[in-house]
Amino acid sequence: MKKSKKEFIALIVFLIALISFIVCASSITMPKRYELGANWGAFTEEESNSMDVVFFGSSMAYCNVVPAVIWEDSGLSTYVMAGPEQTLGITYYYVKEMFRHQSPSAVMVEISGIIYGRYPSDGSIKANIGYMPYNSNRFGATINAAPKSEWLGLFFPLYNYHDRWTKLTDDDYQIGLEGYDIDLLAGYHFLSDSLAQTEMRERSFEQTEEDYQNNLSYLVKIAQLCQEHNCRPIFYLSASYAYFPESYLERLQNDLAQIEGAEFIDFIAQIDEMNIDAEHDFYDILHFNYRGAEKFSHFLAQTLTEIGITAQQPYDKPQLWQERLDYYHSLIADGGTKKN
Amino acid sequence: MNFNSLQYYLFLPAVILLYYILPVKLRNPLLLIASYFFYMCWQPTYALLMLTSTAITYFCSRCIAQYPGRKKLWLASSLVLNLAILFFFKYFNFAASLITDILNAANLQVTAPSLDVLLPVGISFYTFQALGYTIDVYRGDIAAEKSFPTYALFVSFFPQLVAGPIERSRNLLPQFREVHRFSWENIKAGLLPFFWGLFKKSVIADELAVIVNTVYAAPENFLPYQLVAATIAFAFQIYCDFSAYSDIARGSAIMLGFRLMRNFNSPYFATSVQDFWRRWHISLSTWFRDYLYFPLGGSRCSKARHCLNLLIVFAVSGLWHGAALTFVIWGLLNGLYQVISLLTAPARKKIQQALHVQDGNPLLTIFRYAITFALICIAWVFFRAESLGDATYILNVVAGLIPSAGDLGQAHLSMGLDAANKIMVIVAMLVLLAVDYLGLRHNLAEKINNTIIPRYVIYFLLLAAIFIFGSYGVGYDPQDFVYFQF
Repeated sequence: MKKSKKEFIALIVFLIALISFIVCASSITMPKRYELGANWGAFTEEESNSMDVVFFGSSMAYCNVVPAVIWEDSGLSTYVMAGPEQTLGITYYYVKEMFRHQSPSAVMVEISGIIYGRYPSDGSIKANIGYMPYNSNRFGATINAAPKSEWLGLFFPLYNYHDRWTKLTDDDYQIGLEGYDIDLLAGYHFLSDSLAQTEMRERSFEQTEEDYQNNLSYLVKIAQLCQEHNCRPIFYLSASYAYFPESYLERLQNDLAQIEGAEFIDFIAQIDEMNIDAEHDFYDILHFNYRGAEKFSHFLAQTLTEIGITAQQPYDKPQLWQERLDYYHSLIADGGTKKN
Repeated sequence: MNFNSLQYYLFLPAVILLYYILPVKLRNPLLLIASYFFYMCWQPTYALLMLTSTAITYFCSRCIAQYPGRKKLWLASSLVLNLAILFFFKYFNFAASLITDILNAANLQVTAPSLDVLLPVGISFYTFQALGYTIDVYRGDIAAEKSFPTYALFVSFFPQLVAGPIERSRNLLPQFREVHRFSWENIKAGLLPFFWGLFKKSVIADELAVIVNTVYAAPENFLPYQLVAATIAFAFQIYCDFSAYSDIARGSAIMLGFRLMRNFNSPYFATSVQDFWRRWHISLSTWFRDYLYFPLGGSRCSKARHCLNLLIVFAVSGLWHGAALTFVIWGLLNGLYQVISLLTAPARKKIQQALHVQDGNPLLTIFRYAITFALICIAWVFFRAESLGDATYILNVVAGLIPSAGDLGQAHLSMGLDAANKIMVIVAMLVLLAVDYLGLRHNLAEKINNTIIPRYVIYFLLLAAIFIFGSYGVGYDPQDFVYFQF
């Protein structure tokens, strides 16, 4: 063989080996995600086209919605694919990515993120985008919904996490090389602590008009995307003990009404119908503990049924959902200490 | 734009690509623009300073060639103007503070004015390179360059602009007139020092910097063995840091078809301090040899004058490194080692003969390595310490002349690195020493470059080590190259 040919083959093998090493090392050194949503590794383990409804948004989605309870009440298979402090810009790419794996009849987007600025905090960006599969949606989320200072770490995770080589555990190697198992909580984050709420409070925040319009534009895009996939885009405000200023909410409702095909449900306004115990059902003013989340999920199941969403997926694994329900109940029994 | 930055990893391939794509007549202009862009990434306005220095040396050298009768005047003009610029930016505040101290000591309460200016990156390097050229023209060793852009490129050539090697006009200038065709041989010859340099900088130097910075920031908090460890760490940090820059510079230049001089040659395997200075920062050592030591008379004079010449050269070398008494003492100490070596050479020879130990004896060689390394480390204390007081404190504590904080019962602190990182960096240092040792007898780079599979395995191992153990990314503070400050 000619030397130049050998050199070429060696170069190709070297590049393949180097890229493989970077991929494996990135996967192993990434902190493993067991909670607080944004776990795409677990989501992509779900059977394709097995979801009736997928929930999106921020912590107010993954702390307040219990898919196992919704399934128990309605037979709907649901999943929460939300992330901490998730901006609607990132949510748009989440919805887009979800459609690569699932074809739900409805997408439920918790839109409290409408009040957020353009970018979430550094840690939340890493959590929200850093676990997305490597494809155009991750690229889009990075370019459009993350500040430039985060791009390098999101494209090349070793930049953020290579120093973890001194702290690696067996889980890091196993999950890093073999991938995640399915999430028995289907994206729900179990909270058990209680913080008594005395009264409903108005949310105080500052927001520029530019940020509001930017967030609204992503809701328009999400609605369009859903329609392209024959899916109902339902925007909602999760029940909580914090409400939006009246004028802001009014404007938001008017703006949402302008979005073609979009539906809007304000669960804050219906909190009295959920039998919520303000003393025991809240983790904090925005998030329920499992008791509150369960009550809200019962209400959600009822609402979804009332608005005509029925179990349609050719889903033949009721035993999985029963397992999820059992797991959820076992968590309650253990006070939430059990690991998935 | 640091060599260990993403910007440089994009900049260099872009320049290489454009360089070989463009017609030959546009290549030097490309390199000139790229070099000024590279420099202006630090502080755009200081590019004007470099341009001024370039213009002065170009003009004076042209005048030296055109008016041989007045060549001394033009040489003096070039030296005075360039050294004045260097003095203004680098030494003015040091001189002012010295004058203030002297006047205060004489009970004259006068405060000399100080300047609030940033030290332009690489000013000592390009000034010395430009001055070396002027002296070469004066001596008739090289013809004065007619093309100003070519000469400007010689001064500003980006791979070696901010931290050397300080190139000689005889070596580098003619290369700008050559046509460099793309060659895979050049790329692979450049990649090896490039990756090796990155490894040394990122995996060794910047990790050791954590220990060194922690201990030297407050030496009074550490025990004697920690002060010794931090000093040894600094010896390797500065070697890996500076030689890494030179390696990356050489690697970058080779990929463009240019050959820069070798700046380091296994310095910690030197058998004497004199030998160390033949292996350390070779481009500066030979600069001082050719343009200062020899003109002073070198060794072809009385022993006393020879010793004085050594002390002068090393004191100036210390001052070149930094405007502080610690650097001057570091230089003088290195000079003093050589003076003592010179004066004790006959006695040492006699002892060696009495012990029947031949020069090639392995034990003697190891003993010499160790003694030389220890002497160099003692000098490094002055180089690295924040002040003269800190340096003398460290040496006194290590020598057991005064108790350390640990001896006084105060809790000593961690040195900044966890156990895993310490082990990793020690392993990396052993690899470095093994490579340096093998490099004493073999041209390792050439041997590796003549192979295929071993070369790619080495590329892979170096890059893999950099990606995992390297000092970059979130949570790290990649250090600037130490020699940038000079």
